[in-house]
Amino acid sequence: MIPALQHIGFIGRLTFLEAVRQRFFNFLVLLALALIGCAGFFRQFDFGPQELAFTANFGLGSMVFFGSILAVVVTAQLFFSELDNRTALTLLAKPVQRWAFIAGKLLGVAMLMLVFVVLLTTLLGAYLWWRQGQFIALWHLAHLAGSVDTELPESMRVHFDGLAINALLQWLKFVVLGSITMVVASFANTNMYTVAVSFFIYLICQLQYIALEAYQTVDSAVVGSLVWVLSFIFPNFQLYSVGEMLVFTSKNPVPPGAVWAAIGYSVVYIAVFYGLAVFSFLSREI
Amino acid sequence: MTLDRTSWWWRRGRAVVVIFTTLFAAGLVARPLQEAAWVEVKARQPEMNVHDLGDNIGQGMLLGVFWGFRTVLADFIWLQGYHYWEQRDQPDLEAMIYLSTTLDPRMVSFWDNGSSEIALDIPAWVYRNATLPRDQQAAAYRKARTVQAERALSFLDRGLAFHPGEFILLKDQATLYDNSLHEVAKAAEKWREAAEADDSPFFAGRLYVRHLLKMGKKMEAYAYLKKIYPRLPADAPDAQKAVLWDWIVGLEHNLQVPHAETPQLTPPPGWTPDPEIDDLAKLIDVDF
Repeated sequence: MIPALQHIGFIGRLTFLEAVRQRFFNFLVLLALALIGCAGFFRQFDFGPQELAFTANFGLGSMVFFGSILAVVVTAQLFFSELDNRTALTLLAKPVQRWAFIAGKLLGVAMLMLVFVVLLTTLLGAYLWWRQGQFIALWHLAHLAGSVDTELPESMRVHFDGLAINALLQWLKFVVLGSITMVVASFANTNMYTVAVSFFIYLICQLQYIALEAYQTVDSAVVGSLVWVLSFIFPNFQLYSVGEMLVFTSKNPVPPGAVWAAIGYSVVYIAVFYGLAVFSFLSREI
Repeated sequence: MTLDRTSWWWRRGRAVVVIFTTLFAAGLVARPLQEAAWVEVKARQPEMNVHDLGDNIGQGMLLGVFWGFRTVLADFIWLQGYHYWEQRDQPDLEAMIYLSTTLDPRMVSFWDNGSSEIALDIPAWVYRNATLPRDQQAAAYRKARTVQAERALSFLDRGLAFHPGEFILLKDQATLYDNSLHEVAKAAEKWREAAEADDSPFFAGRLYVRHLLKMGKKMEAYAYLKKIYPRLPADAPDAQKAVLWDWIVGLEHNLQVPHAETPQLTPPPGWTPDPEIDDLAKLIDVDF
């Protein structure tokens, strides 16, 4: 068992190093960081009065958007680069099990997404902290002058612990998405096919919440049953759309139980998709 | 017929069955976890409630896809709406208004300005663009105003589902009932709701009283004035406490009810009766 774990760690480390050297990863990370840095510029297109909420929303949106692209494209690229370069053949000719190979790949992707999420969250947190400090200083001045209420407005209270929890949840979502891509890659013949199908599945997962409830309102029994089955087959990615609630809401915060449930849900799906990827890869001819 | 277990169809078919069966089983196992988290997520985001979307399931899809960037996307769509507003392009303007409020229903200003554009600007375009004879233009305008006001009212109802008791939206509805549909009773009801909203300005209560009087409900107006008067701050000029006291006294004269002064119902300091205290219509400026 220990050699297998060493193999997983080794493949994971190599996968991660290969990924961070990719231009695509660096480009997406820079783009996402630049977007968060430019949130102040985009603020001029906003009609809402709360800058911090807009900035947080924009930053979290960048994380979800670019993270999803990264999780799908990089997973597919890393998988197929092993096959195309024949390094997978060399690896699997050694005493490396196929399940360990998939686990290592997934570990590398998970590490990559962790770096991505930590980078973006750190920048977003720093920006919010800086602007929050400025707003609070202005509020204190106004408070001293007696022109504002005694309580600090909700819109100025950024919950940085919530930002960290959101980062964890987004990371888990990206790992789930990476493992879905791994399942597709395990039987697909081309990188492009894997990316296209994985994005399609991602869209279904984003919309699964509709199927979750809509089957009761569908008139046709056949369509209703199909929608009901679909609601069980695909994971619900809207569970992870809690960023703003975690970062700003202090009156009605998301209970820890819900966060733990989302974490457990992610772990179940990562395990299941990993198992399916192994099952499919075992019978694949390389 | 023998089954070739080495065939492509067998292998692929088996893989598909195993994958879907496993995912279905995983869905069953993970359902309690999903329920536990989803109940909390949905409770904090009413726009996620599929049952409320009814036939507009496409809105739910839009939200699901663009969730991350919905605020900034809604802003850009709203700006695009102004392009159509300048072009006086009704269908596209309304589409942009609906789209931006779907993407970001939290923005009260979208509901507020959107309802004004639907109810007030569009009928004015219809009126100006109409190639009708002069005597028919006014009728066409009135019809467009009524139709658009009703559309704006249902639009605002949607907004109120996301912002229950929001003064600005209730005020918009009351104004539409007043100025576009001329339905005094419904306007009165909306002004009452607006007056009870959080951070409601004092004039909402006064307008409710005026509407009650327009409907001839003097006793109800008197009771309402007695209810709100003690709550008004003496040092806020916009509360117009002296004016309201005039109204109370004027109504007492008009209704011939005995003046019952209590510790809560006392005239504001320095109050002098209005010279028109006995002429209720002039006093409250209401056309009975």
